[in-house]
Amino acid sequence: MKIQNIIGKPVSDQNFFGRGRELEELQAISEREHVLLLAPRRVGKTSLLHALVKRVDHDDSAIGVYASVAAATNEAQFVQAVLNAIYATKRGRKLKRGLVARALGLGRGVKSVKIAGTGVDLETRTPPWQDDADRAFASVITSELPLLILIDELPVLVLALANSDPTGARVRAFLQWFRNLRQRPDSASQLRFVLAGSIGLDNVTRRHHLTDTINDLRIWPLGPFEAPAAHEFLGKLADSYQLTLPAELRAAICNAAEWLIPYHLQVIFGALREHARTSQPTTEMLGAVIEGLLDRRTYFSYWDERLHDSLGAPSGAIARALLATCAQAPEGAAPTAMSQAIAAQVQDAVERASTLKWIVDVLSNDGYLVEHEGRWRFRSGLLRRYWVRHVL
Amino acid sequence: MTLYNPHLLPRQDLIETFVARQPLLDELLDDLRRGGGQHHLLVGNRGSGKTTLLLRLAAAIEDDQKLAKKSIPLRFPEEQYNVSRPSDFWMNAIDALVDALERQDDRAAAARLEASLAELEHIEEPERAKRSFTILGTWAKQARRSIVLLIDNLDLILDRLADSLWDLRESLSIDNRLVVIGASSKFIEEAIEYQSPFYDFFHVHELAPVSEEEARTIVLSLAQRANTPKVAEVLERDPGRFKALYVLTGGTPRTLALLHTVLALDHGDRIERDLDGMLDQLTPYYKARFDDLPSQSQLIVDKVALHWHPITAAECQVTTHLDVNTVSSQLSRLVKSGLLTKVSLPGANKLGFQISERFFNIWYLMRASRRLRRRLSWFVEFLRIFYGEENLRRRAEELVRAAPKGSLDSPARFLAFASAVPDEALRRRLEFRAIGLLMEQGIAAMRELMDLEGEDVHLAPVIDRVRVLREIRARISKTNVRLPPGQTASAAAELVVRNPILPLRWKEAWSKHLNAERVEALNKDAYSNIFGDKLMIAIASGELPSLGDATTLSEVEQILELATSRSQAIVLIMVIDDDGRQLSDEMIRYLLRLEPSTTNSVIRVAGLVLENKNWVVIRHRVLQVIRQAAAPLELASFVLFAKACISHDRAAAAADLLVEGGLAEQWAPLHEALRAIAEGSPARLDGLAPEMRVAALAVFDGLRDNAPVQGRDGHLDSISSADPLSKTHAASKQKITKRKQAQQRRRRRQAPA
Repeated sequence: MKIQNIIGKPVSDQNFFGRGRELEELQAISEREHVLLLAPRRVGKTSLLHALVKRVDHDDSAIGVYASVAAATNEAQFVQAVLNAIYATKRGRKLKRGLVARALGLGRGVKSVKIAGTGVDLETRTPPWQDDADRAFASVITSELPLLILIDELPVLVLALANSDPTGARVRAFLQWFRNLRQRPDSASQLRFVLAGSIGLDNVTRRHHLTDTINDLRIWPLGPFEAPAAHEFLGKLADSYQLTLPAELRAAICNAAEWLIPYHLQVIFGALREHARTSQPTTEMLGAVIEGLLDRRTYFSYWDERLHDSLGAPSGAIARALLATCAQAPEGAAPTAMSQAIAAQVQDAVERASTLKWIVDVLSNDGYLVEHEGRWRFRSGLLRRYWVRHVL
Repeated sequence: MTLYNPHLLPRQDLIETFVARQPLLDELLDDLRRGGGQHHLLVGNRGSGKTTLLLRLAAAIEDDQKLAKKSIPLRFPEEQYNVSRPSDFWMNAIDALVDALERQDDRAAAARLEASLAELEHIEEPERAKRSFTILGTWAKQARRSIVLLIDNLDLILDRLADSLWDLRESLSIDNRLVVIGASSKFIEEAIEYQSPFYDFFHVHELAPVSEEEARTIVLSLAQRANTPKVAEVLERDPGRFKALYVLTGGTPRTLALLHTVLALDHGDRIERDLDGMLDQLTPYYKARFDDLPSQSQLIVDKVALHWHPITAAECQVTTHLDVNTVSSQLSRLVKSGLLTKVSLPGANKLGFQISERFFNIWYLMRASRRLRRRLSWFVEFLRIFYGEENLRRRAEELVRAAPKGSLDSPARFLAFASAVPDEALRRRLEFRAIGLLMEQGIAAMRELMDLEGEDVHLAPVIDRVRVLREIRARISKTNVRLPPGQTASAAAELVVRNPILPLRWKEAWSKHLNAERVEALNKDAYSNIFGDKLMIAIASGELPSLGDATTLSEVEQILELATSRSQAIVLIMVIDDDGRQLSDEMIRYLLRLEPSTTNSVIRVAGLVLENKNWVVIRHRVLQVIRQAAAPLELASFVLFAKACISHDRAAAAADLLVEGGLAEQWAPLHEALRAIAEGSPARLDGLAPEMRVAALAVFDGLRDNAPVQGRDGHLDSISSADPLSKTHAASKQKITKRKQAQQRRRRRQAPA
């Protein structure tokens, strides 16, 4: 079995490595509950969803449906995307063609107004899209197909809808409708959803005061590889390229990656492979490789500059103090230490606690920090090293 | 060779000249051979070889039979300006696929795709996007081939599809048969921004500047292709020079191609003449680089480029008037983007910033400076780097020596060399050449090229001198005065301008009132023996002032360097009695130290040339010499001077001079004798001690009767015979006196009764 050195793109088949325990757990939970799958970017959510589809199909526990709604710019397109995905499955084709077709005709006759800069069509059509959508899903439920519908990139649509209507009514109506669909008593055995996205749905709904519309979802976080899995992954990857990575070198790679998600391991392995060219990689080479990666100043300096642009003063300075504290060690810092780090800037304890919560939330959303075993650490070991070397 | 359009290169040339970026090409090919599930993004400055790499990759895929069976490379125009919706992007890809299939002679498949394209024309977005994407996917699936989209300026596409990026990402994520290998001249923000669809989506390859070794290989390869063995010779013979030129290019492959052209021009003269044009070829490239910058960055780059040498952040802040934080943040960004480089400056922790690619800096200087001389700085910097110090001197000497006046196309070139050479004398000669040529072109050309109130202020007196000498020549040539037999007007003019003694204002006055006697007198002066032709030619041309005008140390040094007899020149410089001229004490000291023997000669000659009207000047000069004397003063010399004073009724002043010079006590008999002469009686000598009285009386008698003088230091006979120079000037003095007497006689004769 060969694993390709793929950076950034979702993987499947032989390129999808490990995650057996996570798949088992997610499958088990999703049999009982609707799930909100949360993880920072590049952890492998999409790849995991694809693998879950295969898994449930394989053991025939459900019909796995993967629907990315990234391209949807309105509610109707969302419904179309999901129905299309159902119809695209082998057993989904048993649905009456007419029913799906009617649902697919949701957008027909719609007059829409483009909201500048949002990419969203604000519909002016009556009756509302919900009627057709409800009818379509009612038909799906009636078909009694056991569907596990994995919806990817839902937060993109939610954000777009929220931006299209400053009152928040539109996005609330959509999320409420979707919650109602999940809560239909007659759908309990037929329709189960796993929702995911590059941007966390929990953050999006919290910012727009919509948490109540997703409070039925069971939050399930996806984390990094355990160290043995990361070692094995590196070993397999090296085999695929006829390279040998001794245990010591694999440990050094993991050490450099710090947070052991496949993306980080792939990036370092790829750079090491390029560096070694025709020879075998060594631990000595790894030092040069890490230096080379850190030398991508444009990439890393962006993270530094963005902090100032997005937070401004004085929040930017507080964020920097927090990042400085977390950067001191690969495992990051405990919240108490972080609170101490900003004590000089925010002296009032109550205000400090709320500021800390808010800024850590921003840093987490923007990909700087991740929470791991009660501590906040840099999501990327390379970014942490860059931070220590060039920013502090 | 093509600098901007690698797609116009014949396929074989593209393959053979592709030297830089070979490892990256191999890596991309390896990835495709393994299935190509990865999207790639090449990021590099303009001219870094992105387009060439994409073209080379296409050729490599097509040439690899195995790979060509499972992949098809699609080439697009460099800028896809027609893309405004996702469907435009996918339809462009179908178009490119049709082209590729036609090139492979698969007309049937091409026709089918073309027909499907026609069907898409009438469908609305987003259905059209879906259908066109499906067409591509279906073809790839049926043909069992990956479609490799080689997209130059991918940033442009992403900007144009900003509203559909999630959709685009989705399409590129689900179909493993579609591989994007894109290129961008700047880091694509969408690939870095955490919330963006394309965050960390591509495998990014930064195309760093090529190393010196790679650059050498590239230039050699170009030389081989272009059959320019001279280039290989230069690289072999003068590795240091290549190193300096490599720095100029900043390791950019496009600029290296230009460097090859420069090296291939086998003669300095051609390089100097053609460089301007060659750099002009880079204008689109450099202009685009500059235009890509935000306005504040442009302001900073402008200041850094005009400064040429490393500039500190503080200096930059002063010249830009931006606030410190902005300047510091902009400099930091520009360093990160590779446009600027940080360099250490002398001093603790001092950092400077300069343009990384020196050719870019040269190009900028070519265009940005207001005054031509300033604009020349680019050429100056090029000359320094291109030639190196020794070759630069050689080349400059060659220019001065070999180019007869007026034969060069540009005085600017002389000025550029003058600015570049470290040798002061050579610099002056080059500048003088430029002035000569500029005189021909008129004052407007002079003003255009030089900043005579600023950095070229030192040339102002030279320019004035050259102009006045030209006027003198012209005036005398047109004069109608009677000249000595056999003498032409132009020859007379040369006699005037060549005279090494006369100050310029005298020459000018003479040119207005020239007569045969003056010409005759000038004709008889045998200055050539004393000063030599070189100095007289330099004075005649205006390159150097005459001795009577020399006031600065530099001028004096130049005169002495060319003069045949240095000591005589020094004496004359000091005694020429032009009261408009000042010689500083430092200058007198310098001259006396240079030739200590001239100390006494100056005092003697001062006596010979003394007149009532120049008394103040001569007295001051003698006093300076006494005070700065570099050799023991001889009584005989001063006695000669004292006699001249007495003959002009200045015995008391001569005695005062001894007091002021601190010699009255040392030469008490002389001092007392001069006082007695001033009083008109030796009576005051009676009060002296007997031994002093005897000596003073002897001096008194000697001075009054012009008899040999017996002094305390010994017998002083015939002082006037001590120095041949004194003789010459005594003779000159006699001639002048005789001429004056003759003139007076004539006037008396001509006067009405």
